[in-house]
Amino acid sequence: MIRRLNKFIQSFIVALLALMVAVVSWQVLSRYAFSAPSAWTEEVARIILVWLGFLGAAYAHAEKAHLGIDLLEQSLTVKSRQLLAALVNIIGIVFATTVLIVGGGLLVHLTWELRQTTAVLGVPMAYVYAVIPVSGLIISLNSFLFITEGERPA
Amino acid sequence: MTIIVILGVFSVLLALGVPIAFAIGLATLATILLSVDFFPAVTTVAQRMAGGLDSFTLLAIPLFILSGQIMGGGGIAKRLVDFAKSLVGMFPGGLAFVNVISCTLFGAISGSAVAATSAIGSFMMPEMEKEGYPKEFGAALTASSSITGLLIPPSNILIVYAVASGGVSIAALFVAGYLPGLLVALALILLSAAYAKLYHFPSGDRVGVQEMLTKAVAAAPGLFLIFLVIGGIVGGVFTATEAGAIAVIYALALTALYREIDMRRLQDIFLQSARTTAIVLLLIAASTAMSWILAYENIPTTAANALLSVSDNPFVLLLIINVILLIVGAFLDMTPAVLIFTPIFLPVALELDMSALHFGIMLVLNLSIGLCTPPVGTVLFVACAVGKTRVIDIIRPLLPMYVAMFFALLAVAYVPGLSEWLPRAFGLID
Repeated sequence: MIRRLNKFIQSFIVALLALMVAVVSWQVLSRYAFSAPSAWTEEVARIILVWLGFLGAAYAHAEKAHLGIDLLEQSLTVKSRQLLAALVNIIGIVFATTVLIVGGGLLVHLTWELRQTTAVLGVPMAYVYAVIPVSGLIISLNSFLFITEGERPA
Repeated sequence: MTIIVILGVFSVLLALGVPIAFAIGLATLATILLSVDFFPAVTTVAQRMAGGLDSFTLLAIPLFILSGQIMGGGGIAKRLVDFAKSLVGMFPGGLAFVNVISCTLFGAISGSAVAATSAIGSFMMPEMEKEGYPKEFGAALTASSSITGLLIPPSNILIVYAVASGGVSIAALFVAGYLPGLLVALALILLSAAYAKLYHFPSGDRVGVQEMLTKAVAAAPGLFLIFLVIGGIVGGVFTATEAGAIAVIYALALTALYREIDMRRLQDIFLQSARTTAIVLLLIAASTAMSWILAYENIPTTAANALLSVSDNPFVLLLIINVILLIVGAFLDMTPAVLIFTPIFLPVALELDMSALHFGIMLVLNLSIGLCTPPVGTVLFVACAVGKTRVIDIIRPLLPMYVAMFFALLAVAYVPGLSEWLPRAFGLID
């Protein structure tokens, strides 16, 4: 179930990156070829960047691709290694829950209440920020999966 | 108090092996919690993180990562290696020179050192080993030559610095990186020549002018990207971000022409790029939040005053800053280091009459040495993975390379002209 979610996120971020290339290319093209600079491209590209950043981070976490120091881990016995891995995963859940889920969730709530929208397209900022608690949830789920499987963390 | 909490939480989490971006985020949260309640604190961190990504300038980073990956996998890197081989392959230790030059050329069309290490390394390391070079030497040389690409534009880290410094021109930074980047390459070539003499490295085949020309023509479309991207940015035709998109389209077109990757492989390249991008972006998001709380707590001013009270000799202060940064670079990945330490050291540098442009180039060269040092050295790790060797084994051949890079750093730190002459000649600074 979580694995299928990861698979879906994987396709989604590939699509986001392709879309980003298309949007920024369109910006150049519209300015030079049609001499009609478009106002929406920059805004859309920036929204994609925020989404790619947070969702991609969740995907990278699932792939254990984030950078970290493994010196301590390497100097431990197998048994204490598993304990350390569990601890690191719990810390990951703490970060994802506090900052991303609660903090990001409150941010979504706040910008929704204040009816903040983007400058050009008028997209509610809450939609843009919604990606933060979503990625927090994915990171927590995957950390939980790592713990139950007794694998080493990212 | 603030500084103890931020450093304490960060280093404990880092030592445990928590991903760096998470550690930065949690250390920031802990610091904010000293003075603010839980709910506003977590909201602030989330908001600062998202705000850190909401920038059109930063969009250039995923685009240059993607174009670099496409060029690495799509036959462009191979043609650069062939071209370099026809130029310098015939000298004793020729393949070592080829390695340095290929990495430098690749750096001139891509923006990340990791891309150079894996793209050039996957051709050069096996070949060097086959010709009798120690495989640890090949991996070490690839790692250290790859960092030239961080100074030679396009360069993602210079874009990060442009954002962190609050407005140094990307065009000026890009042009400023050429000479220092070439200086590092030159230092490594001289070192390789000394090695070649000492260990009797083999010479490659001498090639005729005819073949040299053929290789040059084959490599030309890839190298044309330099003029397209850098020319476009410097000439003010498009922004760095737009140049990134153009680089992607151009690399895709060229790759389609070479027919060296299929749709499946292309999808894989997109996924890898998205992943690499996200790792960098999360670091940027978290570091922006940390940098904000540091500024809020007046840490940069306090640190600057402390530094200036140690000595008022510019020569000494610059040396202190560089030593601190070298230590920082060993433990911290480059992106957070630039975002967190630029606000702290740039004011001191300006106080010493150093330009923000010159400081940025020095900062990037300094921290890029850290990419080749344990315990946290992304380029080092990739070089080991590609070269199928271990970090502990390539440290020995790396030691003289550190010395070579350190001398290049001293030159860049104390000779402003190395960074400023070229952008001035182009009229990008006055």
